[in-house]
Parts: sequence; structure tokens; C-alpha cells
Amino acid sequence: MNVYALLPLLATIAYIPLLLTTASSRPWHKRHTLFVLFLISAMLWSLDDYFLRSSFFAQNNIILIRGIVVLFPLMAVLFHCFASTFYEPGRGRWIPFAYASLAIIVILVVLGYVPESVEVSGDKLYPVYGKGVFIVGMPLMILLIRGVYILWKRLTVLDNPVLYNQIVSILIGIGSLTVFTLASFLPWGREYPLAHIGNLINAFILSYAVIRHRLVDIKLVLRQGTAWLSLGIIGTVSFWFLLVVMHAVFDFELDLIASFVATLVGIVIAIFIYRVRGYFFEFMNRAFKGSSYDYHKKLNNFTNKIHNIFSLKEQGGELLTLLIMTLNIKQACLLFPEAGSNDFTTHFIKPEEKNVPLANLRLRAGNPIISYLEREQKSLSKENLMILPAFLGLWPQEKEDIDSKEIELFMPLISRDRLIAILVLGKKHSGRYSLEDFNLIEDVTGRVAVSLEKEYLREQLREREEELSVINKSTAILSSSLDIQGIFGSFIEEIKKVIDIHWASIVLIEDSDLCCVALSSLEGSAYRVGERIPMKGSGTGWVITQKKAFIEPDLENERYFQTGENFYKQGLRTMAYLPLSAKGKVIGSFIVASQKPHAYTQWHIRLLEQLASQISMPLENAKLYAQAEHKARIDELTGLLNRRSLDEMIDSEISRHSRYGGVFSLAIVDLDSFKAYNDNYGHPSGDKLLRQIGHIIKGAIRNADHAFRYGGDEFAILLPQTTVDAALQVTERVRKRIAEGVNTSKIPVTASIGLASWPDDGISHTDIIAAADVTLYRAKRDGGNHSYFASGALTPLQLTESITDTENHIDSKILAVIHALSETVDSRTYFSHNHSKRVTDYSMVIASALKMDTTEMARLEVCALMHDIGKITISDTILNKQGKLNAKEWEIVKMHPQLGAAIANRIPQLSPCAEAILHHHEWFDGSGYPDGLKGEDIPLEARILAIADAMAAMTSERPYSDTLSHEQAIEELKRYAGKQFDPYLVEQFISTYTRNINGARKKARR
Amino acid sequence: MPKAIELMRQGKHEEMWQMCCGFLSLNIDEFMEIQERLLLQQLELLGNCPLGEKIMRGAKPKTVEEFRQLVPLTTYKDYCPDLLEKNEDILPAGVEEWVHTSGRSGEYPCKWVPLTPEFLQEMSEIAFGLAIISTSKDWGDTSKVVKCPRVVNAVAPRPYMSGAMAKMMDYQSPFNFMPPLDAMDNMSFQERIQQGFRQALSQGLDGFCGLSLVLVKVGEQFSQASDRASILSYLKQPKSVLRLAGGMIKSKLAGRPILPRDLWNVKGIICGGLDSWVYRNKIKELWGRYPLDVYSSTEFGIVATQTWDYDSMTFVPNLNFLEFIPEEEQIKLEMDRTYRPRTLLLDEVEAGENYEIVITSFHGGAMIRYRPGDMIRITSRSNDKLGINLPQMVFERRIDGMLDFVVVRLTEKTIWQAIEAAGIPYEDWTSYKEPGQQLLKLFIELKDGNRSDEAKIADNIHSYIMGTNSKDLDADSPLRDDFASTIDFQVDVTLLPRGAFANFTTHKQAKGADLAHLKPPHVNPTDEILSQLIGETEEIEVIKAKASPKTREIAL
Repeated sequence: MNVYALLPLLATIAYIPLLLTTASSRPWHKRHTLFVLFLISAMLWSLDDYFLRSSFFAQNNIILIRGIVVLFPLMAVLFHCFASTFYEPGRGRWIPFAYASLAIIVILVVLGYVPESVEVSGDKLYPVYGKGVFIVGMPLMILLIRGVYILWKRLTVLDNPVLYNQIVSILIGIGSLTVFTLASFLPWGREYPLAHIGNLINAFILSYAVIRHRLVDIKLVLRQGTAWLSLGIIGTVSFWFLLVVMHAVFDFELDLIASFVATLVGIVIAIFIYRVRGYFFEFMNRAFKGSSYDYHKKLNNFTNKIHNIFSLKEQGGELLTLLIMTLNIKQACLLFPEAGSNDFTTHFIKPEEKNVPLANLRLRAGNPIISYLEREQKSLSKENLMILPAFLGLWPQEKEDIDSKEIELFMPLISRDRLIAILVLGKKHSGRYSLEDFNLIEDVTGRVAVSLEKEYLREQLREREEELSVINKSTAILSSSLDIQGIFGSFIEEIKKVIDIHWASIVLIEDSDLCCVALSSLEGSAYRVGERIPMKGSGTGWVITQKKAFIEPDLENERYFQTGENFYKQGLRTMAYLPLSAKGKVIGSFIVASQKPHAYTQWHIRLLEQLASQISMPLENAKLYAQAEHKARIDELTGLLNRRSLDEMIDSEISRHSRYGGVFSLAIVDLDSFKAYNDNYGHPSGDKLLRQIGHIIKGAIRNADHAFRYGGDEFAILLPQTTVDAALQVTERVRKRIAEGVNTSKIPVTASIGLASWPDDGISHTDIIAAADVTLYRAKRDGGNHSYFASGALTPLQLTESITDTENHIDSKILAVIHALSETVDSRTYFSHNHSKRVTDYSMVIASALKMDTTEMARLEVCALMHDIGKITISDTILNKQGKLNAKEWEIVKMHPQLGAAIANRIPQLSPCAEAILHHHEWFDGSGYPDGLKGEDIPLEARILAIADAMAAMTSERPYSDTLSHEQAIEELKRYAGKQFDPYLVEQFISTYTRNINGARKKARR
Repeated sequence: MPKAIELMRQGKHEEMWQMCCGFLSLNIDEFMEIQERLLLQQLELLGNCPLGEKIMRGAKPKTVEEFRQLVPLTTYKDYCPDLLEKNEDILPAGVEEWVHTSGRSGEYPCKWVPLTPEFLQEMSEIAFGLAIISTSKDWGDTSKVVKCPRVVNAVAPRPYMSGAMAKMMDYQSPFNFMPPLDAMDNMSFQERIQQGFRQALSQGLDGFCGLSLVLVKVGEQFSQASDRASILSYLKQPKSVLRLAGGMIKSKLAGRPILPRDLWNVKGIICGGLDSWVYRNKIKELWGRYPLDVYSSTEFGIVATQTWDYDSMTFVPNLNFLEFIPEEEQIKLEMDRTYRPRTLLLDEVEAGENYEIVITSFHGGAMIRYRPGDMIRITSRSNDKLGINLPQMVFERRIDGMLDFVVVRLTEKTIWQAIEAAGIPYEDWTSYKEPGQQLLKLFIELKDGNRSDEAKIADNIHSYIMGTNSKDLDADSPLRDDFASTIDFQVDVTLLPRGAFANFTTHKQAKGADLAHLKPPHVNPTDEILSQLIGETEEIEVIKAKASPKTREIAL
């Protein structure tokens, strides 16, 4: 046996694993089929040569050599067909030419033109091909040259690394086959099966290309099987190579011992190869990959141990660093979804330099890139992004942005079938991404995704907890009080734990402007609390209009609003305006600022937005409370404080003065003739007058004093730390200004003021008011337009004095009872509201015309108030009857003077009024009731009451007759003067009354 | 952005298909996502420009729904005078090129429309996609795609949109236009055609872009001239001689006159307009391929295209936002100009329904909810045969081009169908409805040497329209059965003098109109046009001085 026969045998064996794996892999596409056919032909070619050289079939040498001559071109043509599947479309494949050449060769062989013979010399064989071999070789050479040319041209424009490597493998395979085949035709090569060395090498190259570069698509398991089989063949080749070498060197016989030794050597070599393979691979890797090999190892270690790293920052940072170093790329970043918006934003970037193009990369939710990575769960190259229809929705600017940022690859990180992050890789420092790079990236991202997700979720949770804590605490602070400014400092301090804040403010809309209601500042401020700020040109104005937050990242570079200049001068760089919304309306803004540029991230903004939404309602409530409180303390008509406030403030002043000493005074102001004014000009005019009076009082008192509307036409003035003398000066000023400043036409409205001082005139709340009240009545009894004080030179109270003198002492308490009784009587009928008071007022007009003294006037006042007291016993049905009264009912009604007189007689203080009450319905001509008295037999007070009662009744709404105007009523009085009324008194009343009315009108005309 | 030629050189044919024709693989949801996203970007641009503020009346829509509710429908009048004056300051984006229409409606001298660089870039891919589709038999087929195809370009040059589109195709991959694009500006239409086919005779012909009518005319001329064809005149051009000789042999073997398909193996034909449909069979017979019909316009670029089944058209997602006014709404709008019709989106349209199309340009374009005045028909919700999962359309008519005769509604298409079906050898035709009468006035110019009776032609056309066959002609009306016996629909045919249309064309050409605007409209011609056609014909000759290509002399 020719020992060189082992070489073709090895080549044959080398093809077996490849053939088995590719043939057993389905489906077979065209390329796959051609590849299998080529492998069979290549294997048969070497097998045929082995049979020839092994001399097993020596008698058939010529047939075997012819087989070789046919099988070689068959293999070459099939290899050409297989390689041509990698041609650029449109390139003719010259298949007919190839098959035609093959047919010619077969004919030549059959006819015996080639090969001519086989020379045998010992155990060596020398095939004699003859000249015909050139005819065989020529078309094959043409096919070879054209194929190499086309593939080479393709390589020059190709940028697909997978295809590139596949074509390179094919070219190397073709090269080795060609070189060794040609070598076998050289004189010194005829002896050896050199061509089969080429075939052997080709088998290895193709095996490598299939395993590594997916030359044909076979299953992973089969690829691994091929790898191990190939390794086995390498071992076998090495073993037999050594055996041949030893046989040549030592010229030993291959007997049992030699075989044993050889086997032993083979085992040693196998063990050696197995042991050193790792070192060998490492050595080879180092040789090919250079310095990046260490990073490869580090990256591998990192991905293995990533689950032991409990910090997203460390995980992300390390991953990017190692990837950059391993793959030799310029930049990389990791995008994570942003809570709330679902945008993917840059969390980690390498290198961490400001001018890295990838900095601040943001892929908005709904971006086709995100959709693609979620859906496809595979890498996306820039090229695919520019080509695939899924990205037709990308805006041209977005595509340009990706281009300008030098992004080459988006790699999804998938965990539990969800996209949890995106790895973005930039360009390599040199060259393109290879298949190996892609595999590495896929492998790494697949291994780190779960750990990254875990840490990301943990970090999100931590952030969320932090957020909630800050929100809860700060909201609790803000809700703890209605004094916003008072607690704003604490509120901001709480937020400062997570956000850098140097200045903060709350600005609310007030009318068409803004008002600063709270402020927190480390160093000065562009405006103060309570200051009004124009809305136009301010950041708050913008957020109110747009209803969304606005950030000024660096005032030094760009100032969007007119207010920005002041903020910048204050040293602030980043401004954040957050809208405050309550019940769907923007009520103002929450402004925070930092002295650092770009101080606020999206997370900060989101947190601030949440805070703003949380504090809006408390702010709105505080605002409403302040408004309600203000409203509750203010009398709406006059704008002065109301009675409730007076009560509170008197208590407060008593308490304060009790503690710190001193005196305070209280003045009660009652308008004279306001009733007549109101009756003449109506309530709207009366209200107007009250507003005017309120304004006058407010203007006349001192800053420290407080003015109140006490009720109706009564006002009060509280004068803290003021003695009665000083208070009198104030009240006199008030009185004079009212007397001079009020334009009330013919009814002159003046003020009577009663002044009391604490503690001299009363220690308790009630006492001091009662003292001022009684003093007021004294002033009124003196004709009004007076300012009296309780404990001064004019005391004792004249009313009290006179009533005491007349044995019918009427103190203030009784007087209050009288008023209450008269109001009770008036309230019995819906049409007699205020009737008694009006009768009193008209009676007072007559009394003043008669120049009655104060005692008489006081008694007359009581009589007037009590004149209908008898009606208290008459049923409501009769009093409020709509139609005419029947006789019986009329009789009951006519009883009321007697009943009233009886009541008055039972109360000692009222008994002086009994006569007047009893006879106020007597007529001057004697036709009245109950006693039919006539002329001056009727008591004076009764005659006065009769006129006042009639006047009041005629000018008020009644169910039984029309309401008369004052002029008509006066005409009626004139008509019945001498009949029903005392003509003298009627004359006095009319003259006084008319004079007052005319005076008021003239005044009004002026 | 990679160009088609780069992908072709790298053998990335699948990628080239994806880039230029990928929209055919979208489903309706993906299509709508693209539409929405690009519209939102356009709204951002419009919100920051005076034109947007003007057209949208200050509204700032943030969603598609808001856009449809707040923004009014527009016509070209709404953009006047800004676009007529080419006022670039008010536009949403920078302008790369202005293109214009013929302004055939007479309201404007022409309609100027700006094209942005982004729009042109996107359109270039689609335009090249048309070239690919026109040569293909199936998705991914590149067997007939060549690197520098020889194309006879019979379209109007820039600044017409067709010229811009040819330029954009050339941008993606070089075309050997015959004559070259740059040389076209100074040539008349006839000169372009003549030179184009002369070059094609010598250099070969891979494709054709232009009007179907031209292809038919040229093909017929070849056929008619084949008897007296002499190859001697081409002796100086050996390639032409060889081609002619080969063609003659083929035609002789087939026993018929020489046809263009005997001379050239044309790989793709792109045509536009109604006549593509009318002449498609004729073109197939003469040139060996169906023309690829494209729905395009100056105002919106490309809206839809046929595919390799040469049937209905598929919409393009990334050039315009598409809305559709249902026909009944459109009728209400026609009756009451203040009516605000509801619009549908592509995922809401129904198969078998007619819609007026409304477009909003993407990529910084100027047109906003613009009504180009086209009525289209949705033929189906998808093309199952080709696996295209998008609604399919055909061009139905211009909205101002319908002639309603109660018993029958005629469009340009249906009249054309009837004339064709009647088998009349004609040069061209035009028509209108006699006001107040149920009378279709038809003016036809017969081909040379053909004589026929006007009444007989009218009878033929009438019987085709009213006969059972008319259902196949899309001329049906819902009232037909009820009123056919009571309403007297009539057809009146007037035969125009010989050369009427040719003289009209020459006259227009002499006035400087370009290719697309030389022909009179088939429906509702103006009185001026009609009087030119039926009046005494003027003999107009366009003479071009050799020394100065720009000089034109008109001799009566």
C-alpha cells in the first residue's frame, strides 16, 4: 500500500461529518442541494484516488484513473454552481457552459483521450494524463477565473459581514483546491496526491464556514456535532501524520509493537490536544483580538456575576464600559423607560463626556423604533431603520438625529418577553460590526437583561417611595395650616431633601394680576410676599395659559420671560414653573429655582408636578377660607367690620387691657332721621347713605381704631388704648363729618353718638355696650347730632334722671323690654312692620315742633312704642284678615286701646303712658272710641299719637286700603283736621315735616 | 439615507424593495400609525408658521381627531395669493423646489405648490419604487431591474410635478432618460418624443414614463409605417439597423405588421391618468406590457399606485395624510358650501363606496385638508391575490366631471368606455350635458379616412349606455329601472372636422402650454375650447429655429 494513499482517505473522511450534518438538515434549498452534491463529488473524488493509490484494485487502475478525471471536473462544476448562488443577481451563471464542458470531458474520457495510462513504479503511481488534459482543464480554468472575479468584485462593495465572510471562505477553499491541484501536475508533484491536500483543506474551510458563518443553514446541534467531528478528524490527521513522519524517519515496520507505540503516541497527543486546547484558543484569541481579549474576558465575567451587583448604576456603567472596550466602539448608552411618560431616556452613557452625541437621547413613547424592538425583539441597525417600512412614520428630523448622533445599532434588552431597556451603540473606531460582534452583543444583552430589570424596578420602587415620602410630608405640612407663608419654609425644606432648591415661591392669580402668597429664598428675591406681579411676560402667565410645566434649563443661555432677567441677577440658573390647578382651573404657579444650570431632571419635574397637584387644593382652600373669614367679619353694605367682629374685638380688648392695663372706649353711633330718609327715598337710597356714612366714619377715625356697623342705622367705633376724652375728640370728628359731609336733601341726617369707656362705664362686655347705648339715647333725646359720653360731665343720664324723678323709673333694661314688646306687636301683622317705630318717629317730629322737654319726649316715645300693645291679645286671624272685618271682629279690634292701657297700668314704669294708649283712637270731634272724648279732653300725648298713628298707617301697606304717598297722607290729615285730629297739632306736624322734606330736597338739588 | 443604487450595487435587492416598495407590506394598523405620527409632526410645523395659523384659523390641534374637527377643508383659493406669489416666509418648512399645474380650471394662471427637501426625499423612494414595481412580476422580483435603464421620458419637464418626479427617480438611481432631463427644457413635446424613440432605436429601450396616449400613437405609427419602412435610412446607425431588421423578421414570422414589442423588450411602463385604463390593453398588445397606473398630482405628489397585477391601486402612507369624504356628504357640500362634511380615514372606508379625497401634505408641505377635487372608489379592503392588506382604489372621476341624466350618471370614464365599446375609430372626443335637457352632447373627431353617420354613432353609444352592457361600464344609476321608460335620455354626436384636436394642441403649444395641458378636457369643455374645436381651424405651425432653441415663431 502506498502510504500517501492515506491523504485522499483523510480528505474523504474529512467530508463525512460535513456531508452528514448538511444532508440531514432540512429543508434543502437550491444552495443547500448544490452544496450537498458538491460534498458528495469531492468525497468520491478523494475516495477514488485512495482506491487507486492503495492498490486494492490494481487491475482496475485505468478505470479508477478515468473516474478521477471525471469526478474532478464534476466536483469543480458543482462547486461553481454552489459558489454562483453567491453571485450578484443579474450575473450570468454560465451553468450551460459548465455542464457542456463536463459533457465534453466525459466524452473524452470514454473515448480514451484522457487519461492515457497509469505508470506503476514499486508502490508508487504516476498517472499519465496526456495532452487531452488541457482540453479538460481549459473550461474549468475559465469557470474558475470568472467565478473568482465575480466574487472578488462583490466583496469590494459588500458591507454585510455575514455574506462577506461566507464569500471569503469560498474563495479560500477555491484557492487551496486550485493551488494544490496545479501543483500535482508539476513533475515533482506527480508522485504525491497533492490535490487531495487541497481537498482536505477545503473540507476544513467549508466546515468552519458552515459552523461559524452559516455558509448553509444547518441546525445548531448539527453545527456543534460537525465541530466535534472535525476536531476528531484533526486529531486523527495529526496522529497519522506523526506516524508517517516516524515511519519515514525511522523506517520501522508497522508491526504490532509499532502499532501499539503509535496508538500510545496518538492517545498522548489526543490528551495533549484536549488539555492544551484552552490555552491554544486563548493564545489564538489574543493573537487575533489583541488588547480587547482581556475585555472580552472581563465582559464574560461581568455577565456571569451581574446578579451579585445590587446597583443599577454599577451594572449599567460597567456593562457599557466593557462593551465599548471590547467592541472598540466610540460611544454607547442604555435607555430605560421613564416612569409616567413611557419614553425611553438615557440613564447611562459611556464615555461620560458632555459632548458625546448620544447624551440626552430620548425615544418618545410610540416611536416606531420602540415598537419594532418590542415586537421583533431583535437588534435594529441604522441601515434597517432607514430602509424598513416600519419606520416610514419616523420624522425626517428623527432620522437625521439618529444619523448625526452616529448611532449604529439599537439592541433590545428583553426580560419576560417585555422590552425593559435599549442598548444603543455608536460607531466603531475602525471597521464595521462583525458577525462575531453581533453574537457577542446578543449574548451579553440576553444574559444581563433580567438582572438589569430587577435593579431597575428596585430603583423605581425606591424612587417612588422617596417621592411618596416627600409628597406626603410636604403635603401634610402645607395642609397643617391655612397660613401658607407661615409654613412654606418647612414645606420647601422637606422638598430640598431630594431636589436642589435655592428659591421657591407660590404665585396665585388675583384679578388680572398675580400675587405672591409664599416665598422661600436663601438670598434675596425678585419680589416679596404680597407683592402683585403683572401676568404678562411671566413664566406663571405662560403656565396658566398652557396649563403645563415649563423649565428654563439655564438662564445664562436663554431667558424666555421678561422676569428671567431679575431671576438671573439674583444668581438663579434653572427655573421650573409648575401650574397649580384646582377644580379644573389653573389658579397660579409653584415656582422653584436653582443656582445650578440644568438642575432638574425629568424625575424632578415629575415629582414637582405631583407636589404642585397635591398642594393646589390646600392652597385653594386656604384662599377660600381667608376670603370667607374676611367676608364673615365684614359688613357687605358698608365695608366696615360687622357686629360679630365688634363682639369679638370687645372681648379681645377687655382681655388685653385687663392683662396689660390701660383703657379703651366704645362709641355707638345712631343716625338721626334716617327712618324718615329711608321712607322718603326708599331703601336703595338708604343703603347708599349707609355706605357713605360707613366711608365717612372710616375716614374720620384713627388708624388704630376700628369701625363697625352695629345694625340698621347704628354704627360702633372701638378705640383701643383711648381715654374717654381722646375718644370724644374722635367721635366729635365723626359726628361733624357726618353732619357736614352727608348729602341727604331735605331730610338732614345727622348722627347721635353715645360713648362709654372701659372700665369706668362697665367692666363686662354687656355693661360697656349698654353704657354706650344709654348714652346714645341721651344724645338722641337731646335732639340728636350730639356726642355724649357716659362717665363725663353730662352724667348722670338724663333719661334715667327724669324717669326717676317721676317715680316711673325706666332703666335701660325696661327700655329694651319696651322695644321688644313693640316689635312683638308689630310682627303680629305682616303689614305693620316697624309700625310702632314709625309712629314713634312721627310723634317725635310733633314733639320737637311743640318743643316738648326731654321728659315729655321720653314719655311720648314710650307711649308711641307701646300704643298698640293691646293688640297683643287679638288673634292673628282678625289682625291679618284680608277682607273687611265683620261687626264682631271690629268690636274686638276696638278693644285694643283699653287692653293696652290695662297692660300699661300693670307695669309701674309704663303707667304714665296708659292714658295716651287708652285714648289714641279718640277723634277730636268726639266720634272716636273708646270713651268718645272730645277736643282737648283728649290727652295731648293721645292726640299726638292719633296723628302719628294715622300718618304711619296711611303711608304703609295695608290690606284694607291703598298705600298713600306722604303728600296724600298730609292732605288726608289736613282734611280730617278738626274732625279726627287736633288741627293745631296737624298744622305743627305738617309745617315741621314739610320743612324737613324741602330742606332735604334743596340740599339734594345743590 | 441609502440610495437605491447603493443597495443595488451591494446586491441588497430585498432591502431595495423594502425601502422603495415596503409600504405594500404594511397592514392597515401600521399604515394608520405612520399616518398619525407624520400628521402630528406636520401639525407641529404648521402650528409655528403663518400659513398654518391662517388655514387652521388659530387652532392648535394636538390629535388627529382635533385636527379633523377644528381645521376646515380647503381649496387652492385658501392658499392664494401666498402660494401664487411663492411666499416662502409663511410656509412650515424650507422649500427645495416649486412645481406648478396647468390651472386648467381657469381660476388661476397655474397652481404653484412648494416641495420641501424632506418631501422630495421621501417621494424619490416611492417614485423609484414605481419603477421597480413596473418591471416586476412579484414581490422582490428584480430580474428586470437594471442599473441604468434606458427610458423614454414623455412627461412634462420641471417645474411640472411629472418632471420633478422623474428627477427624483434619477436621484435614487441614475436613469438614461432619452432625451436627457436637462435637454428637455428646450424641446417641444414632439421633439422630445421623436428624439426619445430615435435614441431608443439605437440604444435600446427598458422603460417608458408618460402618457398612455403617446405610447399608443407611437405604436400605431410603427404599425402603420411598417409596410413602407426602410432600413436604409438607418444605415449610419448599425444598431438601429440590426434592431429594425430583427423586428421585421419577428413581425414577418408572426404574419403581422411590425409592433414596438418586436423592436424592444420593454421592462416597465409607468403612466398616469384615465387613459392608462382605457389604453391598457392596446399598450399591452403594442408594447408587450401593461402600463403601471399611478394616482398622482402636483398638489400631493403620489397618493396611490397599481402593483404587478395592474389592477386597483394601493395607497402610499408617508407623503400625505388621507381623508375621505363619503359621496353623499360630498353632494351635500356641493349644494351647501357652508356644510361641514364628515370625513373618514383609510381604516374606516368601505369597499364599493365612492369618496372625495382630502389630503394634508407631510414633511412640511403646504396643503392642509386640501380638496384636489378627485372622486375615487374603494374597490376592496385588501388585495388578497397579492397579499396586500391595504384598501384598494381606482380613480373614479373629477368631482366636477359628472354628468347626471337621472337614469344614468356619466363620467369621463363611462363615456370613454361607451365610445370604445361602440368600436368607433376616433382621434379624440369631448362632451357636455345640454343644460335643462337629458341630452349628452358628444363631439368626436374620427380617424383619418373614416367616415360615419353621426346619428348611427349616437345610436350605438346610446344603446351601449342604456343597454344591459352598460352595467359593465359603471354607468348605472339607482333610478335607472324606475325612470328609464319615462325619461328620454338622448345622445347627440357631432363629428368634428379633421385635425380639430391636432390644431387645438398646436394652438396651445404655440401659446407655450406643456405636454400635460395640450389636450382639451373630455367633459365640460369651456365655450372657448368648444368654439376652437368646432370653429374654423387655424393652421398653426410651430417652427423652431436651429440657431436659437428658445426662439419660437408662429406662422398662420
